[in-house]
Amino acid sequence: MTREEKLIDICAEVLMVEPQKLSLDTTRDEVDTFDSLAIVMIVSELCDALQITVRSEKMEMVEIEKIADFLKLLD
Amino acid sequence: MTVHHIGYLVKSIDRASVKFFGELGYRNEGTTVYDEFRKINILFMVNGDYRIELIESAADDSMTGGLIKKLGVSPYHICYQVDSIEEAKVELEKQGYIMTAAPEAAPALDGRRVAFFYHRDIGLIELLEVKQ
Repeated sequence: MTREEKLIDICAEVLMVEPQKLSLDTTRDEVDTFDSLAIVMIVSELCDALQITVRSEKMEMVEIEKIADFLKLLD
Repeated sequence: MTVHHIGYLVKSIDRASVKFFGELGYRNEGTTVYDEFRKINILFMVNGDYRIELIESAADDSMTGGLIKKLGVSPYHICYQVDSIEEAKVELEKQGYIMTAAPEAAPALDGRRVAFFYHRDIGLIELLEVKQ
């Protein structure tokens, strides 16, 4: 499983949406449950799944408007 | 860390406080305070050693507007007292917590600073800075 596929799976679980309905281009406006708490929950799950740490300063620098934006946190 | 209070999402502080007072033995600690930054109303109530913070959304774009839609009326965070939020943040981030709200003064807590953190295993916590 690629990290992009893992990201979609995590987003689907947190946002309570079928994975098939999500893509990297899915925006916050398209999913009701895609709020600020969901963003933190997704980052937290990503950190656990990929065994990485994302510092608060980096989160403040990255604007999450669509699912692909989470990948910027991993660079 | 010492617990300061439990944060409790409510739809109406007036209605909830009547229930906490009447059936559950809590009394008001101060009066309802409007937090302009977070766009919420807050009332603290105490029952013995336990303090709860009733939080009511005051605008559609308030800090808790989305939360109450998602969680309903419910307790949703525990607030802990710390000497320094910055020092605690360093330690919490090492343990996998993510800061969800940066330190800001809280009008309902005499202007003392609070910050929120999230961990996937325990959800939201709040830190209240109580400098000695």
